[in-house]
Amino acid sequence: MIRIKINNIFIEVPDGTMLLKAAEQLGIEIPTLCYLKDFIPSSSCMVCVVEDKYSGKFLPACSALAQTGMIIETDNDEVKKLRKNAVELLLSEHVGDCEAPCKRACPAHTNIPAINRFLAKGDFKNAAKILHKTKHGCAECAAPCEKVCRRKNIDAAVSIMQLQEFIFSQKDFKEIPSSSKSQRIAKLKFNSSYGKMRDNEKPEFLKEPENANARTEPKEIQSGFTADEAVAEAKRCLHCDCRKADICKLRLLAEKFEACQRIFELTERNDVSKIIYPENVIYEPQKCIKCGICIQITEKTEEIAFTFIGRGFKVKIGVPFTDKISKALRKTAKECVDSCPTGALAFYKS
Amino acid sequence: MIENTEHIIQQIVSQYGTSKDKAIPVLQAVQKEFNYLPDDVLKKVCDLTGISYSRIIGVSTFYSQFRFIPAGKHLIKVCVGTACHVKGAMQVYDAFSRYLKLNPEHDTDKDGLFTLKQVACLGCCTIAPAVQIDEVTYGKVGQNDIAEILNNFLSKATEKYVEQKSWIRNSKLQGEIRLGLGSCCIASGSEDVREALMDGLKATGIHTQVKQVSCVGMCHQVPLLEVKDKNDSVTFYSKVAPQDVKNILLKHFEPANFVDKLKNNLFQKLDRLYLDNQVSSPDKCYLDVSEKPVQDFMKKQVHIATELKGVLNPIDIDEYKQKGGFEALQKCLDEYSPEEIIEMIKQSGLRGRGGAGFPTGEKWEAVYNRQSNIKYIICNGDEGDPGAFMDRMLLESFPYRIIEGMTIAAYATGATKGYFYIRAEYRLAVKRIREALAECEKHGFIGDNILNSKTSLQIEIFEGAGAFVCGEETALIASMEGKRGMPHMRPPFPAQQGFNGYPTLVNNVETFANISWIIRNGANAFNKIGTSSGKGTKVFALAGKIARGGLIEVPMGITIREIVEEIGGGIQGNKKFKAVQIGGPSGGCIPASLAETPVDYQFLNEIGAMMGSGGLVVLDETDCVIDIAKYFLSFTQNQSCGKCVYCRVGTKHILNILEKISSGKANMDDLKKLAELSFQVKKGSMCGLGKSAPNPVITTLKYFMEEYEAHISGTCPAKKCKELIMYSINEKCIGCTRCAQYCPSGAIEFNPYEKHNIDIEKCIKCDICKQVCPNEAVEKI
Ligand SMILES: Cc1cc2nc3c(=O)[nH]c(=O)nc-3n(C[C@H](O)[C@H](O)[C@H](O)COP(=O)(O)O)c2cc1C
Ligand code: SF4
Ligand code: SF4
Ligand code: SF4
Ligand code: SF4
Ligand code: SF4
Ligand code: FES
Ligand code: FES
Ligand code: FES
Repeated sequence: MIRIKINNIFIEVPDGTMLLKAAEQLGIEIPTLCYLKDFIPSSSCMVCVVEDKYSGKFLPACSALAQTGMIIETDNDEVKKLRKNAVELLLSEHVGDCEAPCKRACPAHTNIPAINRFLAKGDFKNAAKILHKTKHGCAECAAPCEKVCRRKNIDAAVSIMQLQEFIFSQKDFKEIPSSSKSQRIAKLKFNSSYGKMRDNEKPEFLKEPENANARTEPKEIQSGFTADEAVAEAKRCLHCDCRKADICKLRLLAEKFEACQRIFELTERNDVSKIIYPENVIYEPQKCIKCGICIQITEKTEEIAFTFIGRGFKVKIGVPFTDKISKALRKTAKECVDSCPTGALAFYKS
Repeated sequence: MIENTEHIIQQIVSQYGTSKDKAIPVLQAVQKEFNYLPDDVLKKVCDLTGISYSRIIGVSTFYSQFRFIPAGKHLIKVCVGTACHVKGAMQVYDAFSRYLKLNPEHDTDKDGLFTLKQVACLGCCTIAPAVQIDEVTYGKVGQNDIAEILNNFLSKATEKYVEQKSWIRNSKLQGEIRLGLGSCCIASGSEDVREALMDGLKATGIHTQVKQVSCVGMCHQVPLLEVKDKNDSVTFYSKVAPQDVKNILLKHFEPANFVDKLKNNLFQKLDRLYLDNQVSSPDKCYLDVSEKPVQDFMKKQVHIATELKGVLNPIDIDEYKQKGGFEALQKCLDEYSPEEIIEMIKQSGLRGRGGAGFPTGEKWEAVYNRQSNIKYIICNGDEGDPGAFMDRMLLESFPYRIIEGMTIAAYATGATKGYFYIRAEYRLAVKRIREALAECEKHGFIGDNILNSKTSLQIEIFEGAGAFVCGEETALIASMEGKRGMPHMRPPFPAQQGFNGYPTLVNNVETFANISWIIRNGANAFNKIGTSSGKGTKVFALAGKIARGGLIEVPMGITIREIVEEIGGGIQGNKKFKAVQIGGPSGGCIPASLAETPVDYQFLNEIGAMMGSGGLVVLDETDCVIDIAKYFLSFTQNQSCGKCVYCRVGTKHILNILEKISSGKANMDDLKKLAELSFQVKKGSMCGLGKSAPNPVITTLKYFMEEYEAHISGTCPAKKCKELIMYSINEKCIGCTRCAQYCPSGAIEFNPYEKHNIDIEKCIKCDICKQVCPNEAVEKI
């Protein structure tokens, strides 16, 4: 048995126990990001860092083993700063929108891309439900959403307002909320956002929307979109928001630590790219934190597993040989998507 | 795929085996055959072995040795190690790049003849800047030598190289000629001198023995020839050129029927060979060993790891035995138990020389105490510090001593299988060790039942594939297991769970080189040398702006001043001593004002530096510390394995801020951020690479703050940072037009007999004009 002290409490643990586990036994919670139970810890994110006052070292609790004499502090100021900076460093190379620009611009924070996704599937009812929640009417709004719509960078903004009008006009839409009572519902304040879309990124964004055509113009201007037209127009939406915006561990930690994405700025941000894998998985490398969990999962069962490619700052996760993409993720798509701590691996068309 | 291709791959696989831990040697062999790693070949390798597609891509993209686009016929490696960096290696690189018309996307010229690459330290720092083309090394390369070097190389490459056997006859040998054939020596032309010697001997009929000896450490004097005539009196000749050889020979030896030989033209051939060079008198190279500089260079040194340097023929096992070699091993096997040996090593106070300085005896004990029927021992010869070449020299010069140390360690810890992990660039070291291992096996010093004892040890060589982080022991082991060389958290330490999960002893080359001396002379003789925190000696690679660079072995506790001024003879060219960078990328910059600091583990730590592996690069007033910090950070940043965020991303930001500073665009806030982030990276990184990477920044911030501030206000005091200087021609110009002829960007108009001018719009700040101007008319402002 090994006797150590954590936050001034003595505890005895068997040889080979991780600090994280020892702390857990004392009911002390240590945040983690790249660590996932039952996987080999990758010790990569340093969010779980603690200080050993005995050796003066800072250790990742998810992989450092308890050793006789340790005096661990799990949340002193230096530890907190290291955690926050770790998240900020990760965010500095992170490229993605947690929430779509349109949603952020909307005074009522309407989840526009979600509405668009339902519309695109012809599911008007669910689209209406979302709109209903916001208690906001678009009639008097200056449509800031359309001004910031990323589709504008490619051809023209999605006709968000007209799409909303279309929903309002549906008969199952019970009551048009009054704009005066509009209220912002924002759960998380933290937002990763990456600024301007670059020319070379346009094809990447166009991998998703089914409609690559220019803006749909309603035949009858006065009566607005027909159902078909609405579907077509909704299909132009680029799906800017992150698919894991509410569960992404990185975002939740950033929120918790009040991290700032711009505190460390790279001279050049990475380019956005989107890679479509089988089983409806989309991989956005710029959101990956290189934890290697997907590698560990796929290595076990897949014929073609993920691997780290390259080294250092340029390291990426991917499958070997581009012609093998179609053989990846055959069995483990769900496990990978569920385990990936960020929005890097997600299901698309969900 | 062509059938032949498949056949080649099959052969490689059958040589190395199909298990996945053989990924690296297999890839190395494949690349050697195909010159790069084509996709279809990689896939084929996987099909024929147990290596998965994912692993082969993961591994091959990790190590910088492997390439995925075809390389030219010849590989030009420009050393951009520390010593070469401070002597303008980047300018040399740029000059090659211009000459071959390359751009960032294309590292190979359009004829596919040359591929240009940067490497970190070729191990010839004393003749910096160094360039290696295939196996030929060129030293002191200038920006204007490019054409000449390439032509020389091409003529060499076509020359049919005939291995010269030493010329043996039955008559009595007169004296002996010793010639160093370490990497520095060879790079400075000692191979040519050796050929001239052999030719000369043949021509004159002089019958003496030419002995290749280990690096003598005086790398600044090479090629160094030591002539022992028949009366056993010794004369040294330094910086010998092939054309000097004949006269040196004639001065010391009597030619056998000289006239005859003259007649049969051989001698004329000799002269013809060197016709274009001036034949010089032997006095030109005469080096008086009683002369003060040579004495000073030697005086303060103590030779333990480098015992008998310049005397031993590196691979002559009989000579090694004669001079006390393997006595220690015999003694251990006969007289001491493992416990006693461990106790002795503990008592000696020996600490690991690989950087961290962990007490060697304790490490051995930890391995000894593990219960396991398989244990491994690894000699760490990865030496990634870009400005250090101690381990290379030890491996090349004293292979038997290192093997002996390893064998003793194996006996003491119970290991039965050993590995030499040697850096990819160290061809000669690999060759020597390979030869030495074969000899040892033949003589029963390794293998089964060593010297008829119950101890057995098999030793193999593993060649690294180009990753600094693989010097870190857990990463080293990962790479030996055929994986990406990414470190993991310790514990478990290698002593507990190392190679293939078994207890493994990892020690540095120099650590092993100390062992036999300690056993022969006793622990007390060793711990008498040095200070309380550092016992014994340390080998340093002394390079940079120093008058006498080379390999030195000094007692711990010697001061930096003694090393720089007394041993190294001070700064070259009457410049002012500014600082030393000790410990390479993990170490720090120590200002001249702290020159009285004794060199040992504790004192160096206290001032923010580190013993590191032993690189010692001397800087003068023309070196900019921000440039140095930037240099090291771009090295570590580039070598980060990418596992943990502080190192992977943090060092990138540090580098960015440094770049901002050196281009004059930074403000005081940036300095504050730089300092903060450096400490955070130190705390938050997982392995030693990241933990020590900020040291060059932290020490320069501490000791050279005013220089940082100067950059912020827009000037580089050392006139080094390109963005902050301009080239201009002053009144001293005599209108000789040289600068205009050499300027690669046409920034200087050809204007005979008139004052020349530089068009700053066109100037690329390559420094060539300044270097070629005969009248110091070009200045940096
Ligand atoms: C980034 C990094 C690079 C290292 N490079 C080397 C090296 O080139 N040679 C070496 O012997 N040790 C190197 N080490 C130290 C090794 O991890 C290990 O401590 C050493 O080989 C142990 O031998 P010793 O106790 O004899 O010093 C390095 C460590 C780190 C963190
Ligand atoms: S991965 Fe996380 S942090 Fe990144 S955009 Fe998605 S939700 Fe935001
Ligand atoms: S493309 Fe869709 S998600 Fe993106 S801003 Fe426009 S409407 Fe919103
Ligand atoms: S894709 Fe997700 S699971 Fe895979 S390494 Fe990146 S962050 Fe981790
Ligand atoms: S400190 Fe750097 S080299 Fe070491 S594990 Fe972390 S990323 Fe890799
Ligand atoms: S090389 Fe010097 S002296 Fe000659 S023209 Fe140029 S500046 Fe004048
Ligand atoms: S959770 Fe421990 S390092 Fe990421
Ligand atoms: S040979 Fe260039 S730095 Fe060592
Ligand atoms: S290598 Fe020749 S003297 Fe050092």
